[in-house]
Amino acid sequence: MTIHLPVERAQPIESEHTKDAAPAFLLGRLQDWSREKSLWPLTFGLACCAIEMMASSASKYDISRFGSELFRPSPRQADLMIVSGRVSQKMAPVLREIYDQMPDPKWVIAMGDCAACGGVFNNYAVVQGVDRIVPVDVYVPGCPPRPEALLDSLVKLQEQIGKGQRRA
Amino acid sequence: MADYSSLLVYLALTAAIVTVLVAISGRLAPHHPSAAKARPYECGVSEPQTTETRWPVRFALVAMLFLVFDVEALFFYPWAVLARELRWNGIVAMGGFFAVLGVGYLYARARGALKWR
Amino acid sequence: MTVAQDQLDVAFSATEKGTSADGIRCLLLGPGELLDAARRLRDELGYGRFIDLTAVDSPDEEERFELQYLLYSMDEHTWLRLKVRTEESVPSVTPLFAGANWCERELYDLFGIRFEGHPDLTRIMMPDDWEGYPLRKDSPIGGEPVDFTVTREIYGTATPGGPGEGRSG
Repeated sequence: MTIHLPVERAQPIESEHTKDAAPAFLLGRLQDWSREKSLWPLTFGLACCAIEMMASSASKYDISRFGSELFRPSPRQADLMIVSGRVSQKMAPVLREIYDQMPDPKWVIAMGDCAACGGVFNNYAVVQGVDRIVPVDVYVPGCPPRPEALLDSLVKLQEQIGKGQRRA
Repeated sequence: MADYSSLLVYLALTAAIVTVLVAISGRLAPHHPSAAKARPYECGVSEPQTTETRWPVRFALVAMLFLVFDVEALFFYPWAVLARELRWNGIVAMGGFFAVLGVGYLYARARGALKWR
Repeated sequence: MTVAQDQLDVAFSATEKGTSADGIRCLLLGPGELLDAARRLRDELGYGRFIDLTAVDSPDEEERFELQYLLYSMDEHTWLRLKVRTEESVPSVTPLFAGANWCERELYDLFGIRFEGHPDLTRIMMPDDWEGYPLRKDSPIGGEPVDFTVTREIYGTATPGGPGEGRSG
């Protein structure tokens, strides 16, 4: 399957599920809190941003103090996909398949300029923004973004999850 | 029989906690089944790929020979444990067994079945 | 000049030679002479190591592609470049140098140059059902139009169609 993209700017994909209603008796708050505090990322390091993602998970910037204790290689065990790096045309169906195989609830952080908008690679080979393929929750600008920027985006996502705004 | 009541209590508690947790998360989790989720995880390349490739025959040869000689080694263990009690009878019997398989081994070697390259 | 380079001059006395900008000696060959020359270089003259194969597209020239093979002699520690001009196809050196296999697939994928005798000439970088040969100079770069502030200042409008538009070839 090849994704041939039109030249004009495409609209980003919105989240595909309607929001799940929160269960009663404060269980919804409990759910949101536990989801927020234990986001386990999927290792989807594609290019240079992956190095910064690795740096953010190493001891100096330590992403695990924000709850992302483990980066899971299998999509079945992850709930956050950090797309770090440029997505080529050949990789696009693979990325979509792995996103589809993640169980709900799932979120996506588009890390770096290439994942957000194609970055410096405005050409035939690179998908111009991963939001053409998967619905993105947070975009992190930077080439590459510093580990602190990635942690900032993670915190922003966590705040939104904690308020119950990203329940799907 | 020692007193296992504390162990039984522990097991019952474990079963209860696990059941409660699985039930709660089963109830509260979102359910959005999809075809992709039902497919096995193959690093994102879930289209069926042909497995009709050619394999070097040396793998099959080594596997078969390994199986035969491994079972031979397996038979040596009980004999080794009882060697003293079986005395000469045992040695003769095992020797004959070993000789028969040894001929086979030498034949395989001579035919180059153990050459890896 | 070392002994090996004298032998090279003798063996290829009829071939045009040159030196490329990085100081490596070149032999300029036609597609028909390529296999024979490669075999002689590998077997008799010691250039047994295949380093690289790439191509340059000059669409205005008569034969638009210039293939550049880079060989290395382990004994003499020298490189040798073979330059072959072709319009469409060239015999494959994969039977002689196994390392050329993927290089030739890459050139087929990105330029559309056919290599006769290649065991498996399929696309290697682009998706299998991609149409076109992206690295040819007349292929569009693709991408999307970008609305930079500086582009508006210079051109008065956003870049139409992407950065590839407006370039020649």
